[in-house]
Amino acid sequence: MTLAEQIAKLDAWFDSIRSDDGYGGPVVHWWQNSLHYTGAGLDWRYEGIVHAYLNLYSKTRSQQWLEKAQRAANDLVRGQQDGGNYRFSAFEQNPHAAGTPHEAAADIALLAVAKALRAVSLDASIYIDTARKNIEQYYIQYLWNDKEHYFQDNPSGTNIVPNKAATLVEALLLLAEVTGDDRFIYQYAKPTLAAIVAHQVTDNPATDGAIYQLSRNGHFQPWFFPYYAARCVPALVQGYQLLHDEQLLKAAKQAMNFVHRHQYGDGSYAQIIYGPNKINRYPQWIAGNGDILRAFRLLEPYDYVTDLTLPEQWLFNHQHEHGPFHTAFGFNSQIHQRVPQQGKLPDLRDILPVAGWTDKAFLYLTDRFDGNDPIPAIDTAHQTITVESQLRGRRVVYVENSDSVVISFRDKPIYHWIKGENWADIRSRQLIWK
Amino acid sequence: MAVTHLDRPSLEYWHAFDYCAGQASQSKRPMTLLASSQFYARHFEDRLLESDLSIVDTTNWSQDTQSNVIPLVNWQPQAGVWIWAEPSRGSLHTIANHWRQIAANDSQLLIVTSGWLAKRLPEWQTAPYPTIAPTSTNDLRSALQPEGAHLVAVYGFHGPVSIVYGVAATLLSQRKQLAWSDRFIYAMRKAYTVQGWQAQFAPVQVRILSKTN
Repeated sequence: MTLAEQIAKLDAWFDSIRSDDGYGGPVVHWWQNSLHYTGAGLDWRYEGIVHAYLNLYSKTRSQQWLEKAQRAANDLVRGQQDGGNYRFSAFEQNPHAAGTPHEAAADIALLAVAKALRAVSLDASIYIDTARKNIEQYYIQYLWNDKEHYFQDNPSGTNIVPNKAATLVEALLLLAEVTGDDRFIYQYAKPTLAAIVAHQVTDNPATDGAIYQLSRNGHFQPWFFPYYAARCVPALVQGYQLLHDEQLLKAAKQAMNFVHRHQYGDGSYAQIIYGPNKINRYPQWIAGNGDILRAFRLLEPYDYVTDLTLPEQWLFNHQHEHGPFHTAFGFNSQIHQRVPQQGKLPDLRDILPVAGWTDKAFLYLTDRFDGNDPIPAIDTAHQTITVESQLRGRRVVYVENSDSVVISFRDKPIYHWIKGENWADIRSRQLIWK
Repeated sequence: MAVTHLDRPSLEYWHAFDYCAGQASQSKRPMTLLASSQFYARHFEDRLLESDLSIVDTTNWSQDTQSNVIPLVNWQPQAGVWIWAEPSRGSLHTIANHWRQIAANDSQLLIVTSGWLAKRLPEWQTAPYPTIAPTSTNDLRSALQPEGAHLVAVYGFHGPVSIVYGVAATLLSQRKQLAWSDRFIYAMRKAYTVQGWQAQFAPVQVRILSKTN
């Protein structure tokens, strides 16, 4: 399959999971699942979806892609609450608002659309105003810690989560660019970047370059996720480009050194490292690895080149026939951490397509797309895909078409999501599982 | 009554709210939330924002709030899906009688209840509590089941096995055994939703009743 065909299928799938409110569907994550709530999630899925469409627009100059990016941005505008938060913005913690880093990622999407519209002399003020309202009325008002000079993860503590702060830094730099207000750079983004760098390990050979997942009241939690280290890199690189602070570029390179050291022979990465020989390898991300690959490529102009053949194969080999990517490998091993047996059915959570993970693959594929091949028209209206998997050791069958997702056990539906509906019908205790 | 980061319920109630919202939404019929506190009203309103939802105040918690909540005395019961969160002694028999009279055959009643272990949850640490004067399981059963209703299922959230895993995770975390602590966290999540005897010991439960002739 060509890259253009892969992208066409992704675009068709994202269209199939849209409602009037936005892109929906169930969510699985390392932290928690959201299988009941399936309505639009105004969260980090918009970062990947919007950038993917803007990539296609910039590479093909076809208006339809700009319109799709704008349509997605309109979901966010409509979904903003009076206080500046977005509805249902907490991804795996939906249906709640005020999700981090999700609202910042949504702001990035809005501001990217604003830049694209301005470039062709179209009015972008509503997107800038929406993002600005979120940043000023939520992030700055509630999460800015004026004593420590960074953004906290919630209003009631002094904790910082570097990868989430990094996503916000990206949004702040974009907001400064489109508004010309340098306050967002020097008062907020710059000190937050310094706080992120302060969370990097520099004195332990086993975890050198890793970034602590969080700190509370100055106590650093030794959770080191390769995926989240990579999520810090775009902000560090953009910070370097703007501020010319070599420390930021060095930190980005060291973070990706850490990620690279935890790559396995098949191109996958470990889930979490706690210290020397303390690793919980599973589940290993697949669709989300688009963010890791993108981080490596962001560093290529700075004499940091890595062979991405295997990680790309790991990603590309896991695309479902109808477009989305597998979410993970080895969810079934999350508790015991034994190597999944070859030939056994994958866990349902592994194969479950999730908008907020597949967007990362969509973004990466469109980054790699050169625009020379036409994106073919894909008719998925009559396509049904069937995937066998296991749920708590029992064989279940996942069936998806343009209208619905049905999971069956012994031919009886135990999960039914009618696309566009806010809530799935769960008929088995086995799936009441967060 | 938008829910923000400050208002997220504990995981036990979260499971119950999502389960009830998911179940109630399947019927496509008008929904009635019988809420014994603003806590319940707020979370269900946010989940069912786009539904035909009426909120009934069963314990006079809404008298000082400006909202479209219906006091129990002014309520004109209508058929549809009812979520009762959660029964309290003062209104138990009134609501049970209404449901027996109004509910169509096969219609469902979803009841959220807090068990004695719920008192450990953040929602019960400061007033206003999720409910005042909660009913016992026996009172609930005697008010609803003898006539025209049968219990379809009881789900408990954070059952005994799950609680043991959760305690183990906390202890391991305190001993800096984070890799093992995380494994027990996910064992806890996997064992979280229970039925049968375990449900009776869960901090939060959902009962599903069906109307029969």
